[in-house]
Amino acid sequence: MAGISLHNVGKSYGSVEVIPDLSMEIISGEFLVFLGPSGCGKSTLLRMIAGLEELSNGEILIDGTRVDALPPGQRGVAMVFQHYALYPHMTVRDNMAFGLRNIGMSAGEIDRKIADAARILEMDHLLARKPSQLSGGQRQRVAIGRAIVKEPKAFLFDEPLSNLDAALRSRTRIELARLHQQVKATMIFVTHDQVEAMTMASRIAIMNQGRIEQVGTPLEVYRRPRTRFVAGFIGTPAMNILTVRLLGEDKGGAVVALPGGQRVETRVPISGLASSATLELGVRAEHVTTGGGIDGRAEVVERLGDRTFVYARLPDGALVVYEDAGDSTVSVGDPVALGFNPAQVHLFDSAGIGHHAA
Amino acid sequence: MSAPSQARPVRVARRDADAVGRRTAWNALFIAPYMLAFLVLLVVPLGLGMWLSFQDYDMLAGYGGPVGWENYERLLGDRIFLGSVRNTIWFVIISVPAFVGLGLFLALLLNDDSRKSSFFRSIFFGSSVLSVTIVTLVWRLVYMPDRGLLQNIAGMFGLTAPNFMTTEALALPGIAIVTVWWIIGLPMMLFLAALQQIPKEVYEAAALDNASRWRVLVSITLPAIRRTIVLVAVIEVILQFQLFGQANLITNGGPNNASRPIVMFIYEAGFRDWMLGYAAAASQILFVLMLGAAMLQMWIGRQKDGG
Ligand SMILES: Nc1ncnc2c1ncn2[C@@H]1O[C@H](COP(=O)(O)OP(=O)(O)O)[C@@H](O)[C@H]1O
Ligand SMILES: [Mg+2]
Repeated sequence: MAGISLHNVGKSYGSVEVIPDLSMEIISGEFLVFLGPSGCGKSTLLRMIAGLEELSNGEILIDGTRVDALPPGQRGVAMVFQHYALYPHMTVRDNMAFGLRNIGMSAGEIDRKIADAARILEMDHLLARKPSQLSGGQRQRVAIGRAIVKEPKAFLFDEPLSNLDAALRSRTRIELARLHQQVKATMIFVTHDQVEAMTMASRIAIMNQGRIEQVGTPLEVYRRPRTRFVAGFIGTPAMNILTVRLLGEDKGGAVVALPGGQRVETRVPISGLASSATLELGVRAEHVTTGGGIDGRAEVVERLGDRTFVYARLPDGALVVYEDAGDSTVSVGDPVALGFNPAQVHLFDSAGIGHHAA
Repeated sequence: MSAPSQARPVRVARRDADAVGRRTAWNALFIAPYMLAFLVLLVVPLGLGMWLSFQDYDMLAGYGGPVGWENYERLLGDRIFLGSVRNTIWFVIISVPAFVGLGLFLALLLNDDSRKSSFFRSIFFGSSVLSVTIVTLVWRLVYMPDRGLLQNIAGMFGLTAPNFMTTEALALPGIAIVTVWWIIGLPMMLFLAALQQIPKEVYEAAALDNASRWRVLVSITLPAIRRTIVLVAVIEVILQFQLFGQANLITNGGPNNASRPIVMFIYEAGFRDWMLGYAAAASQILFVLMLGAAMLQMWIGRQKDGG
């Protein structure tokens, strides 16, 4: 178990600045997920922690010890790669033993560790096989096993589930969460998939263009997105974002108007909003109610069984998605009347910063 | 209404069957140019050579009819021929490991995308395009006793350079050095191509696993390119058994036949002494030697595959 500190970490490839200046504390024993769109610098950051990429700026500490000048093997971290990176000419057993032999561990101890890991991952029957004789899911297990036997201070995962099919992915998610409870090590997990982040993370760090937009528990980032980017990135379907105009204040909350003139009440304190040149309103599908004063017409109806998502076109051209019951009778072309739950409406100022109900 | 639509699939199926038949016939035509060249330039000469090796065919004395194994029996008693077999095998034994070892070493050294590496890759490969005449001319200037580059360099340190062209024991190693210098580019390129197939992530995993450079080479790189090592060895065995030009131009087989290879013996028997049957028999022996060596290499390669 070890905390990891990133102090003003920066990375440039030539003149291309991938990570400008990033600082954060990863708490000992937590499951931290770096979440962000592809190309935002997640892998680069993870690889800098692992020692596979040099820092252009800043420092990295593991357990209070500076590691950014140490070679990868001496940082006490283990990494699970996206394409597994198993040694193709070695058996599963040798794949797991390789790192232990290299540090001169005795054969007896190596055997014991491999047996333990194989038991945890239920893969005793695979030990004599070569990677080419394994399925994608089994290779994934071996890659995780290879990390476990090293008993690292921290596990680093770089999109390890992205090559698995949907069923296997959700099963592996559960297993990783269970593994985290079992080994109680710090785990850093990189993904572009918000479902993976939401389901496994103790905390999520949402990244955008090499910067951290917000760090928080899954519910924090879902309920109180710090920026418009986070609001748009977290949640399926994506949060509705509408351009609005500030009208005034009522009952301690800002009142805004949609482009079509419809009045929307919120519980967002007005302080700090008036100076913003533009304003955007954000509301999730489950917080859009039917029977309000905003008229629209159903354009697309998505029936998921337990609930229905209806995409309604407002007269001003904006598209609003709302959640309806599973047995909703709405069909395409029907007129709908919508309202927004004032306590769940967010406002984003011209700097993209979110303002939420107090 | 239903009758025509039912008849259609049957007609389609029949037409397909016809098309398949026609396609095969046409395909044969497409490979015909190659087949023709293959037959006329390879299979026929090969068969002709075999036939010739059992004939008494002397261009000066005329055709003397079939003689059975007589040519082969004479060869086994011919000290110059046996010497050339020994020379050739010795040349293969010293040059092939050098090609494999040095080719791999250069490839490992130059396997990155720095400008320096790409410059040296071009340099090492560049000499392969030179003709044997130019290469041997250059190296004769290096090896020349008294005034050669080698002697000049050695002279600066007050030493005497070994004389590769006139010392019996050094003639073949000297030719091997020239040959390696000349065409080390091909093995190097083959190894580079193989090295580039190894995923970078595997090396990164090894770095996280505390593997030393030596461990990485032995446990990851070499197993990954094992097939290419066998391939290079087989190619070089086949090429180096056919040593001719360098030996002909640098030492002319001397001193005292110490660097006379089989191909040179065949050339002299056939085109200087005009004993075509005799030369053909020597060619068959060379063919069997090459075939045997290549098969042995591939067999060794397969043995390791199991482990
Ligand atoms: N070796 C490199 N040279 C130049 N640019 C790179 C290199 N590696 C990554 N990048 C760039 O850095 C950015 C972040 O890459 P990466 O960390 O792999 O993103 P992510 O893992 O979030 O998808 C990308 O725009 C990518 O093109
Ligand atoms: Mg990535």
